[in-house]
Amino acid sequence: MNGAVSATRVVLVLAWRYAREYLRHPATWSTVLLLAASWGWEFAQQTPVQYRVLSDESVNVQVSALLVGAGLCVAALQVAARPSRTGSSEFERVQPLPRWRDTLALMLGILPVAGVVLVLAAARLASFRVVVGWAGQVVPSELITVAAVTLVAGVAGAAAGRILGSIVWGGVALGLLGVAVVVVLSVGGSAAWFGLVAPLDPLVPGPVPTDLMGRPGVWHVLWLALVASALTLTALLRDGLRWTRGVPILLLVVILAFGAGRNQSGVPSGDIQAKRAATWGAQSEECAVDAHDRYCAFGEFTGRAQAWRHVVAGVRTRVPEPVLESDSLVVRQVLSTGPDTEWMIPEASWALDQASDVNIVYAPMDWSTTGTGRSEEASVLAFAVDVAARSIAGVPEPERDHIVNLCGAQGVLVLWAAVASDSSVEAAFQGFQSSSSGGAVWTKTARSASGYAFSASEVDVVNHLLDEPRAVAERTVQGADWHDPGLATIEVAQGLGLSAPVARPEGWLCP
Amino acid sequence: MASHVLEIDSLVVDYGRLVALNGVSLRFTEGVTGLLGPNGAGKSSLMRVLATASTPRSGRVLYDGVPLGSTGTLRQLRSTIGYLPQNPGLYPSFRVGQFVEHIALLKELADRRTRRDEVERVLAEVELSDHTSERISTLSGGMRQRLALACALVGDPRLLVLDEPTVGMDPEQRIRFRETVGRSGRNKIVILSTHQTDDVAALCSTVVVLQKGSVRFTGTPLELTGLANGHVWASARPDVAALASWDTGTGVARNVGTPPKGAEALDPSLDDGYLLATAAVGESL
Repeated sequence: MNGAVSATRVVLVLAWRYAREYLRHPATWSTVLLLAASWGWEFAQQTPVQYRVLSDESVNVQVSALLVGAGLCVAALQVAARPSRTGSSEFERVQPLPRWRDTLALMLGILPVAGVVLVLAAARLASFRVVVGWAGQVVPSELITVAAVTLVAGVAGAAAGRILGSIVWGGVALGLLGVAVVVVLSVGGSAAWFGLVAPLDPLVPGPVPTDLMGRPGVWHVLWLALVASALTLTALLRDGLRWTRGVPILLLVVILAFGAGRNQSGVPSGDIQAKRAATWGAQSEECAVDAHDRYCAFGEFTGRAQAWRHVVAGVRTRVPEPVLESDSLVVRQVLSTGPDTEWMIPEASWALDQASDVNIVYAPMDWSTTGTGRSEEASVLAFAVDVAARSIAGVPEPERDHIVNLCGAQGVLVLWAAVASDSSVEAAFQGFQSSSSGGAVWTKTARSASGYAFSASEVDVVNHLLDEPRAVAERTVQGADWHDPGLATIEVAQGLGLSAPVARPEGWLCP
Repeated sequence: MASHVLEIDSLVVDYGRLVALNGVSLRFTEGVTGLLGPNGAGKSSLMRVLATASTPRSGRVLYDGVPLGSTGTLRQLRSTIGYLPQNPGLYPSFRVGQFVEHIALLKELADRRTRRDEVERVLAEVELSDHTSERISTLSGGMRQRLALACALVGDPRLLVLDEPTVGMDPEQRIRFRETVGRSGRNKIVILSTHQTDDVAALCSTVVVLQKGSVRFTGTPLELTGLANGHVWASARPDVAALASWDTGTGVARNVGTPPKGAEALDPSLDDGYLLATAAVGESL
């Protein structure tokens, strides 16, 4: 057999054996198992987290991959430093297979482990698609980053083991590298991209359509791959790869890595992103007409319209006939560029909405049913309250950047209709209460800083209604005479014959 | 089959100011050659050069006329060399068969079937076939040395370089080791570096004595023993004028050196010959 072919085959066989060693190493299998178990447990829950945004999850899953990366790094360090630790270096160096080829096999052996993590991550993202309400799409470059992160961590461990030949010094070097990564991540901004994983763009807090994410995912993967290549080449040169062959390649890789590094950290500024969101977003919204209502969502989020429909239908069912507004609704999804800046909507859509005389409710990008008091639950509650306010006659619309206090019967009815409209809204309401104090509830519309506020008394009445059997509560509300917006909350409570009358004063929100 | 020859010509190895080998020239043919010498004589330096683990400052090593260490032939030559270093360094967590197979891969045995057969062969050679699945950490010192020898034998090398392989072995283990080396060493050039003169006496057809980086003796064990003919004598008490003398425990002292007139001559041993060969230059014999 040709010597080169034979050596290549040997390298592949060795790489496979090293891969099995990495996988069997406690540091690797325990972290892989931990990851798989936590994801599997989450998936097996009776009420799995719904309304996942796959593009965001493609990024979030990278953070979990760091765990396996750390385990693999330790395993690779131990395996690579083994000849030095056991004193077999000299014995192994005089074998026919050049030492650098053995080192190459060590590096190639990391690929199957990275593949395992990639498969796990892909399975996790796939599992989200069987749960109700998923939106967005898997971003290939972000998913590949999961494998690339694992690869870089493993290669760093193997390179440290080979170059330093000591677990202690290798551990110290890798520890310093880890600290550097954490520091870079904590510094944030464009520098965060020099860490192994970059968090979601802080300029756009909620989910956004994939083409508005503003993440240089491809450059980042390329950068990670080039970093892994540079580390590999350094270790190969240290172990006897001919310098005339290896150094030019290493120089080329370093130059390319520098270029990829610059490109990956060149994230568009907030202004540019806002502009992109305003222009590109308009083109990517799709509308669907359902009866006499219209639901408009970004292409990847059209599945969310189902949740909005449930809320709209639920609200209308719970509003007594005499006060029910029969106007059609336009539900339009909007995104924001930050909590303290203007809320963004597609410019073309905005102009269209202003020109027409339609009842518009703006839907948030995120949605949640967890009831754990997370920020997206406030969006769900605010949307339902907004729908309820539009569906009940006489409820004032807040001016831009103003909060409207809804008091008395009107407040109770709006909040009840919103909260009882759908289980996701009720969960959001409970989550909101558990994470706040004072009993009052504020909501902000998705369009601006305007919204509605309910004092503790209205909230108490609604809570009492929620404690009743649902059919009883609904019959009670439907039969109540709440035409008069001046009807005080205490009168509403007494009229409802609630077992626990509202004892608190109306509070500072309502006169 | 033509016999193989390993030639060393004016070999110089140094570590900074320390000269380990000072112009050593030797010729090895098939069979077991014992390399004797005190600590620091340059034995391990010579073994490392022969195993291509280090490069001499000057001089040449020719294997069948081909210079050792020339870039183009290094890999080919390494496939013909079996090296057992002083501290072979085995992986304790590996199983016996697994480790030998790892070494077989480093010897570029790419074909799985060939590799497995070779592992079986060398383990049988060193009588470790029954321990294939045992972890190396559970093996005795002697078994580990035999395992290291098995690794050196992978690929059926024509040159076997064994650096102090019997250190730490008990007598039985050493005898078994001799059997293995004797069996494996047929049709090979085997160079055995050791402090054990009885290993040399039992195994070697040729013996080389090194001291302070230079060759002090080359010949057969019998010839080395012969150096002491007439230089070993008995006395009632150890003779202070002798190079070495000791009570033998039988009421008679054994002396090596220049005997006094009328001394009772004793039959010399290889130890006596070695002692005289390594005696300081100028020492009267």
